[in-house]
Amino acid sequence: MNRLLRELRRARGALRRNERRAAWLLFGAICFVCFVLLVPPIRDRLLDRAQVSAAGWDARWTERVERGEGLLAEGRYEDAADYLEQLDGVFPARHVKHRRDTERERVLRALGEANLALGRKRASLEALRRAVEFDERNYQNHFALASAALELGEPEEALAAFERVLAIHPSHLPTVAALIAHHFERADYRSVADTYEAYLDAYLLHDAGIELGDGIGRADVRVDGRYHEIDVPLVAEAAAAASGRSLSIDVGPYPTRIASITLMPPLRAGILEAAPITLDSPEGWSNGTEAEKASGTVRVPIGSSEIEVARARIVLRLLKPVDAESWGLIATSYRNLLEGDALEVARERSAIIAVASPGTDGDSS
Amino acid sequence: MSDPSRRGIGRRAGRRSLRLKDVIVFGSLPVLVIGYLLTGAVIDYHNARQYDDWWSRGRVAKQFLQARLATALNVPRAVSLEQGFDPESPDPGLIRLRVAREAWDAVLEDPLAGWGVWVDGELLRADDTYPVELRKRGDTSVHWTTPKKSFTLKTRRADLFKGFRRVGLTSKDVLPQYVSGTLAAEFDLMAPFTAVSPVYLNDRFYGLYRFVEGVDESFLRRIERLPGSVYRADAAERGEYFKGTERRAFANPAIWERVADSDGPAGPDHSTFRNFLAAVSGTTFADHLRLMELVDREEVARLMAAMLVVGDPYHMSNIHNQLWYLDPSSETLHPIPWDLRILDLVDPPDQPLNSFLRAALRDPFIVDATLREVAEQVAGGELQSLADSITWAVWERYRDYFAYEKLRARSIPSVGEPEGVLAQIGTNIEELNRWIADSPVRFHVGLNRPGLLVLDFETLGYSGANLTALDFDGAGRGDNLSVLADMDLDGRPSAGDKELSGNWAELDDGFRFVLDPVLELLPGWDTAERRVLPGSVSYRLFVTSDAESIQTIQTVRPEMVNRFTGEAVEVRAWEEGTAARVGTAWSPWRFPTLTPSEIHLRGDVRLTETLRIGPAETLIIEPGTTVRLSPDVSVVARGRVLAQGLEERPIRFVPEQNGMPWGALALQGSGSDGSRFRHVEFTGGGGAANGPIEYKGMVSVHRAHDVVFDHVSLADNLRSDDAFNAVHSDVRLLNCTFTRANLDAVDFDFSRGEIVGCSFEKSGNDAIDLMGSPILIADNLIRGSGDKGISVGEASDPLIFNNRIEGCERGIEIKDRSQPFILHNAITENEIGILQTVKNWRYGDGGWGKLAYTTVWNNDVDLASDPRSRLTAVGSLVGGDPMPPSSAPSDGIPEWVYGRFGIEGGTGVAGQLETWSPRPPLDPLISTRFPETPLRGADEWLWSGGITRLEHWQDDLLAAVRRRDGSIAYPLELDLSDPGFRYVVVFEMTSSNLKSISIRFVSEDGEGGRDVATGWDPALYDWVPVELAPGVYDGLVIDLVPYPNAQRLDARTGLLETTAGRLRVHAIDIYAIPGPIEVPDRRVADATAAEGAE
Repeated sequence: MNRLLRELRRARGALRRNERRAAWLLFGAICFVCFVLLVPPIRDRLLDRAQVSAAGWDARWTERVERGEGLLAEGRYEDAADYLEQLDGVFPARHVKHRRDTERERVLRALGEANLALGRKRASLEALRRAVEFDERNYQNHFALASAALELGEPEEALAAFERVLAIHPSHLPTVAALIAHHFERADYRSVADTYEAYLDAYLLHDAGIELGDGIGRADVRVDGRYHEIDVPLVAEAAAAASGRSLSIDVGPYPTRIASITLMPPLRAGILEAAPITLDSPEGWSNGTEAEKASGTVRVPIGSSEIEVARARIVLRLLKPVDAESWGLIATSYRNLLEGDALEVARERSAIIAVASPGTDGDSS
Repeated sequence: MSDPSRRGIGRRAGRRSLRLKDVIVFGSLPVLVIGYLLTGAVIDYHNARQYDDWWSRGRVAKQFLQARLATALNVPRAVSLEQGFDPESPDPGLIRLRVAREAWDAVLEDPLAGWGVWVDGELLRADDTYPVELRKRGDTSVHWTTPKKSFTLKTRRADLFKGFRRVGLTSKDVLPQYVSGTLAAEFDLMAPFTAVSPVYLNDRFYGLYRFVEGVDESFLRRIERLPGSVYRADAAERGEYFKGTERRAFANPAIWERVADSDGPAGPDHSTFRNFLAAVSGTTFADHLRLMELVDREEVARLMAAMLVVGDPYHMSNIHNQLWYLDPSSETLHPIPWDLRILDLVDPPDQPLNSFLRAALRDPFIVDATLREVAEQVAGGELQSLADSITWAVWERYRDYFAYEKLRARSIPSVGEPEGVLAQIGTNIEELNRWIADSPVRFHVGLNRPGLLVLDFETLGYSGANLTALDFDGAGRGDNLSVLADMDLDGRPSAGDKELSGNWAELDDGFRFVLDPVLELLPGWDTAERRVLPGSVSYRLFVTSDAESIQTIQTVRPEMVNRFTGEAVEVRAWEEGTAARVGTAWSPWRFPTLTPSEIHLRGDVRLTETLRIGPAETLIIEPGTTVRLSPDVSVVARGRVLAQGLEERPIRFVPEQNGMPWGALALQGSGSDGSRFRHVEFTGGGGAANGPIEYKGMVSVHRAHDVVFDHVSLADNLRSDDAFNAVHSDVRLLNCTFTRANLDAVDFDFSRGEIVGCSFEKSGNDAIDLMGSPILIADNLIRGSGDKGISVGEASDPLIFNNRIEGCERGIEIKDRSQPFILHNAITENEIGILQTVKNWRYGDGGWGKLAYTTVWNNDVDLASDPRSRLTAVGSLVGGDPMPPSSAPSDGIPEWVYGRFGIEGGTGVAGQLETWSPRPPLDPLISTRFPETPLRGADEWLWSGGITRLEHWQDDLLAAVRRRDGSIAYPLELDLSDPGFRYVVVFEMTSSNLKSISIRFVSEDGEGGRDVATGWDPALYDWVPVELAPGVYDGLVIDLVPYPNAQRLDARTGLLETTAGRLRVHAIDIYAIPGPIEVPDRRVADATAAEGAE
């Protein structure tokens, strides 16, 4: 203690002896700081740095969410639940307007999932209900709640949540598949058929690109398994007509049938207009091969020489995908209802795919 | 001891040196300030960036530092300005609120909290307070992260604020969006009301806001568009869009919500709206025609024109600001302009037009109509003048508030400046004038084969051209040639082509074909890019004749003029064989044209399925025809119907099976304008549904005009609400009979016309039911209605003249801001003679009958009014007593009453007239009203003495005077010097707690006027006529003398408090009544009276 006092006294004495120098030093430092802070280039650079630091500081939340999800993925449910619960308590996005809104939803959904794995029914549903409450416009929140509720033996809550999913996203195939399975289990074949027909009729557009040589055009096409006509101007550079030897149509992930293609030549000054070129094929065209499916494109050769085209009229249909398991239930339901014709219509409008995983939607997203 | 002189810096003789302590104390201050500013700026930045939306993404920390610095530097001037602000100013736009500071701060201070939470507050107006609720609002963080937050104000149902219950108060772009919203209304669009309002919170100025009406059912009622639904899509920002789904509004029906709905008995039906979305996304011409059936082309053109003038066809985008009104009477959709900004049309934002506009602008008729609308609006600089006047008017009114907001411009959203707004509109108009003048056309003529000339035209500009003539150089006369338009667009002569009409004339070196009518070469626009560019439309003509005639033609020169300017257009050569440009515009020649035709019905006609009449068809029903309709079978006419029977051979519409109602006779749309029904009998119809359109009446008229029913009888309708229903139409019912209507006999919804000489017997509900319909109801006999004889609701202002109403549950019921003029009627033997009441809170007020020379007697209750209703009366008898009770001395037969309504033969005595005849109505020279809006106050009135309040209040001019005499005055420039007229000024007014009222008109020669009897019931109004001698008047003065110690019981405290005398003037009308000139010299008369009084 005495030693400390002695040291203090010595320092004080030194300061007194050098007070003038210290005062100068401090004065200089203050001037320097003021100069640095007031001169725009330096100040702005400082602020830019601060902005970057702030962004970096904020990024810690993303890391924490990922850590929680990582624990869940590793199967450390207890740790994940504890960690996510703590994170939930301090996470900054308390309203959907916050930029980290999707991360908040991830936290809540992961928390629900962890508790579900631990058999904590109430905690799981509570977390997922909070996710729904946080952003009730996100169909994935409703879907997560519905799936958990179904698993935890709360069919009423699950059905209500599935209905909300379909109100937002009527082409959400996993929901449709879950509802079909639910109705089928209860031998409610009418509801199976109705659910599937509502899914087939659900308004879904695919933004299809059409290309002919250097000419391009776009059209929204209904994905409902019915034939629709599109009439698309094909514009090359400077509003000139397009020319090429094959027409390609980007149909995305949807199995497609094309019934007819009519190519309209451009009007030429002083020349009596040439007749439209109608391409017919008894089988039509489709993206049946694996390569075509992978590229999401249907290619139609239109001749050995380049043809100039102002617009293309195409009659095509994009089929609604359905997973094989659900299709089995749907087909059985129609048969049990003695509605063979309706089954045929549904089959015509559908493309049967392997599995409707949670990431598989009726739309291209 | 150390030398003090060595311990400081820069010591001078006689002064204390600066020590280390001093350096620390004084030096740290600027460091702390600078540190505070910088740290604050970074925190502000961090807070704003939490939202990562349209606004916060553009923020950098430097801006926040500048904002803090600017705010600090501007504090003295801001304080000085703020001291001049007066929250008690009678400014009509001012909003003065009081809220609990803690509650309000709790909601506002934390941007993440308090969403959807209503905070209780009070709205202060003059001496009164009204409970209101406040809630923060806004789609992006600009509305809630700056010191000036946007919020919504909601009143109670009973206390609308300036006629509005829910008002958005928006902090950003106050002036530009006020101007753009006001200009949009000039284009006859369904534009929500907007104004600029200074807002005071707890008596401190909080900010200058844009006041914008919410779009809901109240909005539809205000603009008389009921019934109907409003669909809304806003999916731009967090919390608005549906994650993981299609965000384009026109591609995803699931993201639309309804903010006003009108569902039929079958519940919601969104099929029309879904068809609309499908048609927008469609690419074929058939899709386009479907889309055009669902919208009004002219309205779309007006919307586009308004958007172009303000430079913003972008903000009503694919993902937000979409509001569409669905009119169930026609199943058409109408855009509601929302959130238009003022932008540079020449340098637009990097954003395409929305899908609807792109689809609609493929239609050359819409493109052409858009430019026509622009040309008409900007002609003569009128639109620019209007923009100038509205901008500068609001700027002048709120100059100090704008200056204050400018001082804190860096820390709050910009409120805009008039110079910038007007310069931008001026630039846009200049650019649009360039568009209007831009009409080059490419042309090529080729001799394709012997006997055939091919003429090709292609519009290349924003604007189109009219082909007026073709000049042919060469020998011959031309009259053996035919000019054909390639209407079927097959590019070659064919049966689908149309020969053009015109006249041939000889020229010195050839001949000329003058087209009559001119051939319209409409333009196309290219909307694929982020701005609207000129597109192209090609047209082909053929000139045919025998080969020899054609071969004499050396050249052809088209004569074309700009469609709007009339100037000759630039004709560019189109090289042989080169292709037309590929564009998205449809050829106008593809659109179907209507060919008129007639359908005749005669004899005994059985209809087993609904007869549909197209817009170009006319249905003619011969006298004596009987139309027997199977159950639910209707006649739906989109074209004209002429059913003109004879008295001895009437036309009949009857059910095929007794007791099984047929549907409706429905006139739908403007194609059925001019329909006539005479001596027709309708029985046993039951209303119908035509797709989503519901016909509520056995006879229904939807959006048709100039329709007459004369000597028509309607009886015993079944099932349907109404025997006759008119919706947004103009209909005359003359000498008709309505018997045993199922519910209402006649229902007029937002329609015009008249019901004259009709009789109504035993209607199940109302004989006549009016919603927003200012019609004439005259010479009718109404007996035995199950509910009302005449129901006047939803702001209807009919003239009810010379009717007898008896034996009904209620004779006349007046509701919801309706103001019927009830003249010379006899209302008797009803349970209630006249009932005035509030039914629908959205109108904010009860009924207001204008009772003149009417007898209301021998009813169980003659007259009943609720506290929200008012009455103006003259010369009437209610229950045998005069109404008003203390009538002013009669001035004889009031010419202005009868003249106003064009009635000859008025007696000035209460009761029905035995005879009368129509005459040309006498419109007031000047008619002044005092609507209560945020835009108009009593600014031009002057006051003096004891006047404590003068403002527009509940659609009156309200003057309050307390303790001492006061006067209000209005400067005039009124030339009433034509001696061929008598001049009568009629005041509709009431007063309370006033000892005397004197009205004076001041001229250079003296004064004219009169004293007015005072009253005690502020809900009972008088008409006070003041006759003026011919002269030039330069002022109106109303002197008010209050009772000095008038008191009233305060309802809240139960204590007596002094109260002001009040004068409320509802209307001032000045009539010039043609000769004979026997004008009493009021000045002399008043002087004589005054002498006598002394």
